[in-house]
Amino acid sequence: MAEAAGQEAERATERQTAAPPSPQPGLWRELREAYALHERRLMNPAFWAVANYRFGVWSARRGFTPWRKLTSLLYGWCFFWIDLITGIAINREAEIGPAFHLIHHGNVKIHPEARIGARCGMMHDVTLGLSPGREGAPVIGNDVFIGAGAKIVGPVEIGDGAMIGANSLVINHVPAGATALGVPARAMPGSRGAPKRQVSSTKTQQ
Amino acid sequence: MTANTEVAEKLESYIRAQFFVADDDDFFTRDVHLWKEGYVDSTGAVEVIAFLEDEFQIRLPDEVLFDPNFTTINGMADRVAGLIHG
Repeated sequence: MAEAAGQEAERATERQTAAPPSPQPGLWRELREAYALHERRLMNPAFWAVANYRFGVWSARRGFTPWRKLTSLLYGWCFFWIDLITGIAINREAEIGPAFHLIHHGNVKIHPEARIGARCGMMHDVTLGLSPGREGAPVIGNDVFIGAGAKIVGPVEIGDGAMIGANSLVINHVPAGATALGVPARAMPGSRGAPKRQVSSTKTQQ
Repeated sequence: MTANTEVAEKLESYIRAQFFVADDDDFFTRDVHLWKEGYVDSTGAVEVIAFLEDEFQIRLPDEVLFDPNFTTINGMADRVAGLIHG
């Protein structure tokens, strides 16, 4: 029993290090922050998606059941239309830290179990999803940039400050600060965190 | 023998860092088939060969890509150690 509780606590701390819970600044502040990040344009579809996600999280926390149901209905209705129009589906069950910036809109799918840290940037055509045969969804650290078309699948962890190159397929853990690129993704040669290679001087002289 | 282990160690740490092999991946050993099991893809194979050539100042012939022994970390280490001392 105590062991199970210990494991649960361990998992909780793990979760906190991966994606620190936002200090719950209130819906209005979150929406203003999202608005400021998304070019201060109400007609920016990426802003609609992020704002609807924040609204969905807020509505799920309402204590008064009829009020929660009503706001959740509105969230679900907006979710459907935003998904249909922009292709952005950010489920409110996903954990996304503060200052999340969806840089270009279009075809972003985030699995309900995925977790994203603070101050992450994401381009269009990004999928955070599951991988058959491997249980779990991606966990993204803080200050991570995910390039256009990147697919991150399975129980992988992306360390703080990592960068995922465009069109990469990430199926392994990416250490903090690394730049991942390729299908399947690997360390970009010469980038921070990539293994050092000594350049042979003798061979170039030959 | 020691040259072998040294080469294998350097190669293993390079492959682990370059191809994001998880530390808790029990399947990854020095005898695993790197191409077949998907740890290293075709362009990665060229990167591995370039790494070995730069690191140990040797020249590997192109035929190593088709060598059935040149598919595991230990197999590569044998070949490279042979070249260093040969």
